[in-house]
Amino acid sequence: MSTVESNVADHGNGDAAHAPHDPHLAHHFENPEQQYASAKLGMWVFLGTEILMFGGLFCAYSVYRHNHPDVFALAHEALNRWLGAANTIVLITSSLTMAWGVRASQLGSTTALRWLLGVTILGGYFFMGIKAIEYNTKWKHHLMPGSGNTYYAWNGQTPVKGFFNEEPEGEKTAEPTANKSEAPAVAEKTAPQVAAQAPRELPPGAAPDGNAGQPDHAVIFPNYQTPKGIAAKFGAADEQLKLDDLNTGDKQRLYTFFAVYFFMTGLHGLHVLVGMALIYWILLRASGARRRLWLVPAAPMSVGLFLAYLGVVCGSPRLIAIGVAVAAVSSLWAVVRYTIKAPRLATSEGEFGPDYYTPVDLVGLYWHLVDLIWIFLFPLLYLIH
Amino acid sequence: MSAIPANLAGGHAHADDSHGHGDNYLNHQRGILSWLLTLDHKRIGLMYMMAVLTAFAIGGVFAILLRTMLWHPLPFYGVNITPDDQQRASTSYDLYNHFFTLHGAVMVFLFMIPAIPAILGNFVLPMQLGAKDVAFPRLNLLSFWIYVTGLVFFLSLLLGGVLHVAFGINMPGGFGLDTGWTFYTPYSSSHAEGNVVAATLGAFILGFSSILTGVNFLATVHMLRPKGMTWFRMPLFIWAVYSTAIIQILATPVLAITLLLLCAERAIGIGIFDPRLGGDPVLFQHFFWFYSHPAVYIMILPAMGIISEVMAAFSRKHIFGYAFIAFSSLSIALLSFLVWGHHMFVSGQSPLTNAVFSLITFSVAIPSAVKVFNWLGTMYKGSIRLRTPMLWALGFIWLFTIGGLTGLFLGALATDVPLTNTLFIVAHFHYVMMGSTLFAFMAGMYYWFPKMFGKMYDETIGKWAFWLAFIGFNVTFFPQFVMGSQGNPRRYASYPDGPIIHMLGRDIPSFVAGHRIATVGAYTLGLGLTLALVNWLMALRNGKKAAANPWGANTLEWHTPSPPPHDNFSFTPVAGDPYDMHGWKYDPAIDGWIEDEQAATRPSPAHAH
Repeated sequence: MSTVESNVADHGNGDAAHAPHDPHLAHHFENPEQQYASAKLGMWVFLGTEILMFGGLFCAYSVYRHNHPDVFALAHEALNRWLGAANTIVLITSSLTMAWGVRASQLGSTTALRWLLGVTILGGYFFMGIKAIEYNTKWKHHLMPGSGNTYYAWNGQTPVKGFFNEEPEGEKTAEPTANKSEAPAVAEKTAPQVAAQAPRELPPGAAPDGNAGQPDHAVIFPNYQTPKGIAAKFGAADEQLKLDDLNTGDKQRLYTFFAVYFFMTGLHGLHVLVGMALIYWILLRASGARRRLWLVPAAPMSVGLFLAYLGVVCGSPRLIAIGVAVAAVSSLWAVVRYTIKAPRLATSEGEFGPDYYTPVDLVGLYWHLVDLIWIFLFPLLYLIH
Repeated sequence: MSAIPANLAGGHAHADDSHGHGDNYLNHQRGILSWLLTLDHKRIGLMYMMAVLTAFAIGGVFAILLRTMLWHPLPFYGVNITPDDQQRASTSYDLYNHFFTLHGAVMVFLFMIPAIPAILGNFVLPMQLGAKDVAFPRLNLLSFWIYVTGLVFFLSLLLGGVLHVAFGINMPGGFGLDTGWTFYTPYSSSHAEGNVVAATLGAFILGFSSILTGVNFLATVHMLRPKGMTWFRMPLFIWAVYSTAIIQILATPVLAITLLLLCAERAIGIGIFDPRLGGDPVLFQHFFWFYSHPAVYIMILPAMGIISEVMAAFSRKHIFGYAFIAFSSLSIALLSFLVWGHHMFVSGQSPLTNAVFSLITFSVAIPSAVKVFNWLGTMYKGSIRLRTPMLWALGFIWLFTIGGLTGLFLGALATDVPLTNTLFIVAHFHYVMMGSTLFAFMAGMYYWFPKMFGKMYDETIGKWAFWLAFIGFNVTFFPQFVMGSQGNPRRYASYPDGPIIHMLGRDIPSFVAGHRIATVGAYTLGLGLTLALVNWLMALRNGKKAAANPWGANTLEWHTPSPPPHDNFSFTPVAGDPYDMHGWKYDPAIDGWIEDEQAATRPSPAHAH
């Protein structure tokens, strides 16, 4: 694009004389200040759209939590709030190093910038690692989103035996065994207790969607419901909510909390991954590495991701784990090399300095947004009671 | 008004001859990659035109198909028909569902939302602004390719449908799409046979493209205005596109998350929207219309911008009430976020909510009427030239007025409840959305066609195309108002005879007559639009060379040659009043307008030939 500039006789009202050969100045901007301001405006607006997108999700969360408070109060017990808190600290710290990195680039301290970016990415790895542990635990407890969930309503046999209604309190981490076969017995035990309050119970042998289109009693006749769940336990905070405290409709909806949890944290995790990739891109440019070396770590990463994909296709969790591990280790290796600026990579001092730090600034803004969303997600999902 | 127009400002009065045959954006670089990977907003605009018009053709084919199906009413279930007939009818019902859904979804997501901002906005906005390009050219290209990706998703739906119907092959995830373009749950989440996942992902991707375009235009308007281009010297088309960008940015993300949730609901059943799983289907409607009502204004606002330009140019008169038109665009953008509930009057909202939404809905009529009156005021005592763009623009006013006034019937609770889900609604939103947006789009295409390609189209064929499309449109949709108010539901593959009307000494079943009239109208409309396409293609092939300013308008894009050079301007554009056309005089030699040095001393405004 810059070749056409020579065709233009009068380029920018005399301002063109000011830094006309700035390599970072696109031809349609008059000066770097205008370019920087445009980029910043565009990024802020884009972040606005991100907030609105998550806003829709938070709105769905509010509606569902308002309709089924007991579901949220009980189901969130399955989340490990200490891991969540650790992740919050990790993300806040990485936000600090990111902001510090932006400052370093403005001051032209290229070494500090590299190290700060490296640490920020490491924060991302840490976060995703903890998230993987959490997801894995949910999977083991059959608390995944969708029909694999132990408490999935379509089973028509709720409540089945699972995380929240296993007899021995200490064995929550054990694999649930053959839920379906035991389900009728459990249902028999709990059904009489809730019969008085239950607006309706699935008749035995009913079609799985026999209750489709039926109005939700709890929503339409809130006054007719005997106080149960957290409403009854209001003021007695030490008392744990039990599965039996929930009315029948809510018991059939426990899995929805996990759908919401996985959807919100999954979308957020996707943003963390995108943020990590962006920071990696900034790190490459900041390291002054030769451009053709940029793609070298991409090869093992692609192999890892392909293995993970194969694992998804073949339904092999082990292959998924191996693939993700290969991708993570190879990318981590690249991050470390660019952060410490391995001698074979280095050609220049990097692109960023007091004259040009727009990409660092914008990626920083994105990372702060990712951090901010987590700060809302953490209390909403982990700290309900 | 008395400001020296921009054409007298710089030393570029010879823009026509110096660059007329030389380097322009069309021949600046050659080769297919110089198009596919271009960062030039004009080329991206033309690529959008190819993709969007393809989508428009697909949507149009479905419209013709479904109108053809309605020539004969399919037998109703259980009304004295044999089981064989019933089976056959059932298959046709399903086919009909696919037809109207794909027609709606393709037209809304692939044609009407991107048509004016992405094609004409991309091409015209930076030039009208006096900028060399949009603020983020790479993002612009990315947004185009994201659009193409979304288009591919929808094409995969069509492919699945064709494979199913023609060869009996069923693709995983379903074939075609039969939910209606609104994807209402629980039908879409648990019952539809169409590939809802592919459709929602496609619409999600298209929304992303729309957001990026909006961000780009917003930043462009804020940051790239050159010297002299104050906010209130911006042409009204820019005001309109700017308001559109605000809506795109604020509303589309909500649709994005809604579609992702619906996708997850359909794929694994997360229980947010599906009542069978404890979800709330009305929540889906709220989310959906929170986007999709503003989306209606994404379609109509830039259309109104085009009309403002065309009205002023072809009335040879300064636009009447500039500030009112500009602010009415912004206020429509604002109000568009407060009226989504009027789509849900019968979905179980509380009466109070309904009343509030009804009230706010009525207030949208105010800025809309402000615009219409200002256009009429612009024409009043103007020297009106009925060239092809002006005809399409006048057609817009006709259709928009009918569509807008029938909207009041639907905004009022008492009349909306019986009219909901009848053909009245179909007729109303086709008049407002399709008729108005399409006619303004055509007006804009004809208006800027000489600028885009440097060629003039054949005026006679253009006018024929307009009259065919205009008559065809009204013949198609006006009977649907009548049938709708008589109780013919929308989205039904069948219809009874309807009330018998006595006419010409005969008893005529009104629904049969109405549907057949509408079908004939649809064919006429299709013929008119095809003729317009032929008109453009003929002009590309052997059209006369277009002057830099064939209309005598004064917005900045007419100051640069047709087609424009790669950097839009070979001089530094200085903006004056965009609607002060005194500085131009007609030159029969080039069939265009050139700058008139004596304009400053001449007392009366220049008149049309």
